Amino acid sequence: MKPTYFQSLLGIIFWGILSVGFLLPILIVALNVLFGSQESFIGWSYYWSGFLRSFLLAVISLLMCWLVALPLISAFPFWSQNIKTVVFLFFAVQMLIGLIPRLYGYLGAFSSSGFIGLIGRGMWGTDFESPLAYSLFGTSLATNIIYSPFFFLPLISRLFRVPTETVWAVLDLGGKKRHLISTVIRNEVRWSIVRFSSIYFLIVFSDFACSDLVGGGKVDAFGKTIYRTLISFQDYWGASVIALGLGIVVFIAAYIGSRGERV
Amino acid sequence: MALRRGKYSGIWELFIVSLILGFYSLPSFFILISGFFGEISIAKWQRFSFDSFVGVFSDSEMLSALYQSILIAMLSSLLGICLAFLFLAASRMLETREVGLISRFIYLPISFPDIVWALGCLILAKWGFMKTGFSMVLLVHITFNLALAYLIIRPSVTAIGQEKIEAARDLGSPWGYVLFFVVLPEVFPTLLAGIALCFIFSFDDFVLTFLLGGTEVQTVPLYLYGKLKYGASEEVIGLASLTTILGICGVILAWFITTSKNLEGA
Repeated sequence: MKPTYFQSLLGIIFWGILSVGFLLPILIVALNVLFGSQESFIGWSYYWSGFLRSFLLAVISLLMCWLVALPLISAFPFWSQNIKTVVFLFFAVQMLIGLIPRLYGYLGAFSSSGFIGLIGRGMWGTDFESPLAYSLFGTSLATNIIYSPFFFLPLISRLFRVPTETVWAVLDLGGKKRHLISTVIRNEVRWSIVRFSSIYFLIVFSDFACSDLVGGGKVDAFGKTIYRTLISFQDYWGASVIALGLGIVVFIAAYIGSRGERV
Repeated sequence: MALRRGKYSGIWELFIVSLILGFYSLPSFFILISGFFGEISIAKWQRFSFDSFVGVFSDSEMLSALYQSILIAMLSSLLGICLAFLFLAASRMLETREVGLISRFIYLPISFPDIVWALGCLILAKWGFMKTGFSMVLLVHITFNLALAYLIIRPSVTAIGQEKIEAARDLGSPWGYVLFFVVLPEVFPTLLAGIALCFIFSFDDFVLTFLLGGTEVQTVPLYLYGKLKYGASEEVIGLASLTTILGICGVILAWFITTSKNLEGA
């Protein structure tokens, strides 16, 4: 077989898998919005309340991320290469440990029957109920811990690319640490933060597992809302509209981030 | 190199690193340790043993979940890596311009919300074009791993010097020989690291498998999810701990392979 034919064949297989496995399902969601049956549609109020709950959850979780990101960004350029690598590897490990085992660990550590509960009961008596599980704050914290690698890994990769010679130059010219952060580092990572924040926000917003296991019946993320409409109400049309909206937001977020980084 | 180590390093640096790492690693650390006590509640930690790990391999339901997880992860990661490698290598060897469309689309399977993707597959199943179950789960895992493998392998393949390929061709090597004896050795460590990462991502997938697996697919995350909702036995905690160890080993392996290659290069 001629190599050009071989490459064409590979290209067809490659695109075939991508099309059938991913693009077709996404297209079908769009087609279902246009032509799907609306008989089982349960009304916008259900989705609207789900949207608000998910939005609140994602905002709190993102704020927690920024709370950790701020000192990380400020300190990262001054760390030794070994520490930088350790931090990077640490988040890589977190990303690759399964979601469910980590949720197991989260409940073990932060629920009333776990580590925090043990401390709380010791300090405040047997009536102590941990606020870190089965509550909005607890679920936000859980999503933050579980999904933080999706924010921090790319951010750390971006921080690795901040030119060391520029950092040296600012310091050699008498610039203070705060000047360095407010001029060089802020400009370098500003658009990355916008991009990764939007990705992180959407991941938390469309979460299913954390809100289901840690939120109990009290907290919803949009993944859980969509799942419930599919299983309980069979409302494929409503779920498709919401899912398509979510998909469009992902496109826009990725586009804005990549445009900003190019600028 | 650290910048002005004397001025900026020290207790503050150590404090920030410890705080961040400690906070985020607490759940993983907790489940890892729980495996050795066979109990998730810290108040019930009494005897350090390996019983929960041994118990994993004596429970037939758990072993079946483990087998299905490994099968899906192995098949999808190998297929994804092989196809991505062959496609990229062919593009490099023939010096064809990389298709811009692929570069734009390839991120989507990784960054798109799983629930939207799964919903599309469910509608396809509802309309009768596909069937939920093992084959559908395998297809979406292959698609995901193909995209992931493409992104992992591409930098290594594009870094191969065109002069090496041309030299081999000028000396009369056929294309197959160039592929296996010039291109493959250059990217082999990256391929291994890619397989490890794809395997772990596939092994740990929850949402897609949960929604598309139907009744016939029961992987480790699904099994753990069911048990987490309705109470966990010693063996289940052992299994959760084992998968955590697997994740840690995978990253260390991938890191070791890539850094040893870089050191060789240096």
